[in-house]
Amino acid sequence: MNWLAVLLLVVLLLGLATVVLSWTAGRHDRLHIRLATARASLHLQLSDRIAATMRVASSPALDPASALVLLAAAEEARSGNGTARHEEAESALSQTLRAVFGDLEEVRLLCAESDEPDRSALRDLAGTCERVRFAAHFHDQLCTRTVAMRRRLLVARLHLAGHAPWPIRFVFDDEPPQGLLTVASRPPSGAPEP
Amino acid sequence: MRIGLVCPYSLDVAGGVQNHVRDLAETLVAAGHGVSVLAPVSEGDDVAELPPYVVSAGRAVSVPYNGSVARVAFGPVAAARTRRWLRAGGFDVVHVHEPMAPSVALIALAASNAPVVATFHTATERSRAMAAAAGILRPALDKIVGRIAVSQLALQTVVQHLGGSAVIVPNGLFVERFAAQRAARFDDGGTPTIVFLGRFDEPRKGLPVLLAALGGVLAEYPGARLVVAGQGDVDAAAGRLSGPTRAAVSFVGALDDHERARLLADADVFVAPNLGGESFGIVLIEAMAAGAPVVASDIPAFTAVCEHGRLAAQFTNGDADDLTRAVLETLADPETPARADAATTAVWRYDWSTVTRQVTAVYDAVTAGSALDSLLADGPR
Repeated sequence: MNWLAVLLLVVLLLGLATVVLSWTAGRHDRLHIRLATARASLHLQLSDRIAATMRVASSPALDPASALVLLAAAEEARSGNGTARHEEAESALSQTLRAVFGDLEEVRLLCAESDEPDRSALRDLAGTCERVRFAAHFHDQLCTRTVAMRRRLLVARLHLAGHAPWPIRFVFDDEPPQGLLTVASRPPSGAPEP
Repeated sequence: MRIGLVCPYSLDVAGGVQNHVRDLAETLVAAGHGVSVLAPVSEGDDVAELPPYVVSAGRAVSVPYNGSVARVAFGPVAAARTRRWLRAGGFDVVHVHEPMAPSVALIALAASNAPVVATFHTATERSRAMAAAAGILRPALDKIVGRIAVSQLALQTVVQHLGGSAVIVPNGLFVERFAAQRAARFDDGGTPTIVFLGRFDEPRKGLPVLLAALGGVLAEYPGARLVVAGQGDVDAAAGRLSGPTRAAVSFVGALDDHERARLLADADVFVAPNLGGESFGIVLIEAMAAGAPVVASDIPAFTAVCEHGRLAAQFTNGDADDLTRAVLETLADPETPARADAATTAVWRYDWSTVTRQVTAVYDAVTAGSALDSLLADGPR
């Protein structure tokens, strides 16, 4: 009589453990998928930013020195993709964009000298800078959560994460150029300046 | 002649290009020319402290470029100031320095209507980034009428980037300022002084090689001293040294021309262990002018200045043991003073009196050409 109760309890516990473990593994799986998506999104935004920088650099309103630093930084970031200096090159691009478009007055002057297609290229660039920042933030958050989860004893011991790669952070300077963002966020026509 | 000089880097920061532009401006003014220098100015600079011939091109910003950080000026404000400076100056010739740097020199080059002379200072590899920027650089660089390279290496860079050629006019030095200190030389018998000059925490200046070589020198001359002059983090550099070596090294900070001349005049050996990235080697020429026996690494820029060992001893680049050998040989060799004298005589060709004459000859050549151009354009048809 007694052994039957024990057996039942064991079966129940085993069943419960299976449910919990497979549910945890499933959560893991989903987290890793989200992480992969976030990483792909970050890389997409980074290449968008490079493309937008190159387009702005070819605008005739820009002086040749500004165009030169922008092109050089964009090209470094592009060729750095997939190498050990990728993060460094993207940071350098952020610093260059701040050096060229950080000052509000300078960006206003530049916009005044530009025609509409050039201005729209500038707005596109502002948009990509913002999206890069958000994508970097979300990716970093997911990295933190995934690492925290994988460090849990049960997950680590029972190999619940399977063969999913350990999350790799992408650490870089993602601070956007404030001057450009301020000008770009202004309503397109007729509205008073902020 | 009205001459407009453009310096791409902020003048308050010490550097080969900045020193060259400042000294060139002064010698041109002394020769009776009308000179204006356009250059970026650092934030918080007292504009009153700048020489009267300097016009600010705007605030200098730091930007990563070609593997290092440059303090330059660009953007609509700098571009507008450059155009205004060109209009107001009415220059017969515009002389831009380092036109491939992303700064006002390139802007002035693109905007100038006067004939342009350009001086190429550094030897840089043609990077992928610069290839990508060729479309922007090319139209501006095509406007250069007279190209000057400061050394054979800088000339190779010009050829590699632009094709064609350039005339070589070296960087200048006020040889007299350094030579004047030679009388102060004294013999301190048996305790040789070794001198190093430069930003010592920049790896390419090679101080670690010299420090590694110092042990071997101290074994022969226990009283030897190493004086390190230049900017850098002293604690970090001193922290890496062990007991006896630490005691032999003193850091004296950054020195001006006259202090450097005095230090060099007292030196028994001046060591330039630079690992590379030098296009010219003005430090060697300063030391030679001051009469200091020189030991230099065998990088191409230095080998050219040392005339393949005729004016100074050289050692295998980066090899501390070979540096020890070269220093010991120089200290013991009875021929050393004669060689240092020969070097002092030889460096007179880098004196500003010679260099300025050559530069103005280039100005004359390009303005004569453009005078002919306008004659042809305006003449009867």
